[in-house]
Amino acid sequence: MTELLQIDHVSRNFGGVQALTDVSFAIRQDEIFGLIGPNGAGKTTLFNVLTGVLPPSSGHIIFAGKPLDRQPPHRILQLGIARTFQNIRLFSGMTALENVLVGQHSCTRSGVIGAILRNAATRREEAQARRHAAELLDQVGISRHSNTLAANLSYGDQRRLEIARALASQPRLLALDEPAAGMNPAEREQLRELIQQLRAGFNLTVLVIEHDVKLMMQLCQRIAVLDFGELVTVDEPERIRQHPRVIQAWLGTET
Amino acid sequence: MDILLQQLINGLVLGSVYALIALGYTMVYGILELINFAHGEITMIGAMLALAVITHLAGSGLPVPIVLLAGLLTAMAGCSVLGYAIERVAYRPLRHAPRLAPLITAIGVSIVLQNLAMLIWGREYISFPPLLPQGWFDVHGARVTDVQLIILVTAGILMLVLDNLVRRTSLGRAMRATAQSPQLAGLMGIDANHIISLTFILGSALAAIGGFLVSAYYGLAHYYMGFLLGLKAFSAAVLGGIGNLRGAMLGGLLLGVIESLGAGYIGSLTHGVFGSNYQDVFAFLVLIAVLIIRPAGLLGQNTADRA
Repeated sequence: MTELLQIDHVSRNFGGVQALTDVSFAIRQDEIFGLIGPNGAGKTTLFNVLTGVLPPSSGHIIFAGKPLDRQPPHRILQLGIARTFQNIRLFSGMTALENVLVGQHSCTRSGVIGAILRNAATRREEAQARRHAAELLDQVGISRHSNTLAANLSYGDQRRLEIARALASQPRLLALDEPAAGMNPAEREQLRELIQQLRAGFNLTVLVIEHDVKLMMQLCQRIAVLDFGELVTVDEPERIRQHPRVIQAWLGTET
Repeated sequence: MDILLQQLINGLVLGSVYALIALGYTMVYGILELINFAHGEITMIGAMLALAVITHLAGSGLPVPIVLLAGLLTAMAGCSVLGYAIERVAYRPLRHAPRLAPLITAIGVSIVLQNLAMLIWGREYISFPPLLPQGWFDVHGARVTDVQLIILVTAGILMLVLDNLVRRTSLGRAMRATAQSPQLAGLMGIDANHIISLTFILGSALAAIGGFLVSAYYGLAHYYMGFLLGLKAFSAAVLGGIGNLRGAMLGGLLLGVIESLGAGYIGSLTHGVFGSNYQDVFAFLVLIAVLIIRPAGLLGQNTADRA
């Protein structure tokens, strides 16, 4: 299997706080790759470095053979990495459909002149974009809410909308930051099925952060463990479960 | 002649121009939370550029509509470039500075533009060449001139197009997304700097059209005209709820009508103590009243809808 993403000796510090220290691992094409670790282990920082929100203090990220060094977030999205957020970040004043359409922005071509004149090509593109957005809402199971304002959706549906919006940019790598947070066991099970369906249906590679170790064991092919900003290990779920530092890190925190 | 109807029509015509200029204030505020005080001066430059071209071509024998259109397009192109350049040079370097810094810079830019215009076009009033249609027609006892009709129709179409653009197109959604959060918009593949530039270009082009229409309406342009015009359009934007596009349109029209009715009736209401030369007072009375009673503006409650 070829490697889609390489994290190469990435460090990131905030003033004197070392959030990530010399982290290196690679994610293979088509796998569902998990990232676990206690709160403050640096998981979300790694996501922010990956998506261009924060530059790494040192190290490189190589995606599909190309270094992402200092690329702005919108370029990284165009290159094929889309994400969701731990604390949901939707465009609250827009409908669910409009949120997905915004996610599709990087795939639309019509410029200013087209937007002013609303010529045939622009209208065709808009109609196609709307159809595609509606399909994505259907895929994540919230098509009945397409005209609801994002702010008025239930918590679980907002998480699903974030996934649909991320898929809209036709990414090769989908990065999910705690997609199951706040969900009950039944919803978590549905989410696991959804992620596996989407991975197969869209030919995705998935990187997922979750606290629910049981869910991660079922979902992921391989898991990386972060603790205090350092990579503890990368391995298959079975081996992760038996790793002494993992057992130690989760003692008392995992029920 | 029906004074009420006449003043209403005059007010709507004036107000539609205020609305066009107010849109520029409100679009920029929606995205950057910056009050672009140079916007009035961009309007003035638009009027000056249009007049310069039209005066130059007036004796050339070209058909009048072509001459007017050439003036308008030159003004739009010039102001678009100017608006883009102002954002790049004066505002973008201060994007992350305390909010007072870009505000004061905006005032600085407006002084620079005023003085530049004075150097280029002089201190005198410049009059619109006598090319415009002089006709008028009667509506229930009120007189509507051809120029007034042209202004109303032009402004109306532009407002519809802009409203459609913001609500129904990919570019409009990108503008609304950037208005809510430039960072999040960036993560959705939107180049926020690109959208901000486009917002300045669109707003400045509208200001150019506004400047052209005002100079056509009054038959005059002057290097200082942008100050009062900008202040009134800003009041209109605040009246409608700054950041809200439809608010700016409504605010502009309302302000024009209030000002016009005020000018028409103040003499008889005050038994001649105040004359119609006090008409400018109304815009600012309205601004003060709105800020006291409804600080968010008439349509300003829905901040997430702004763009």
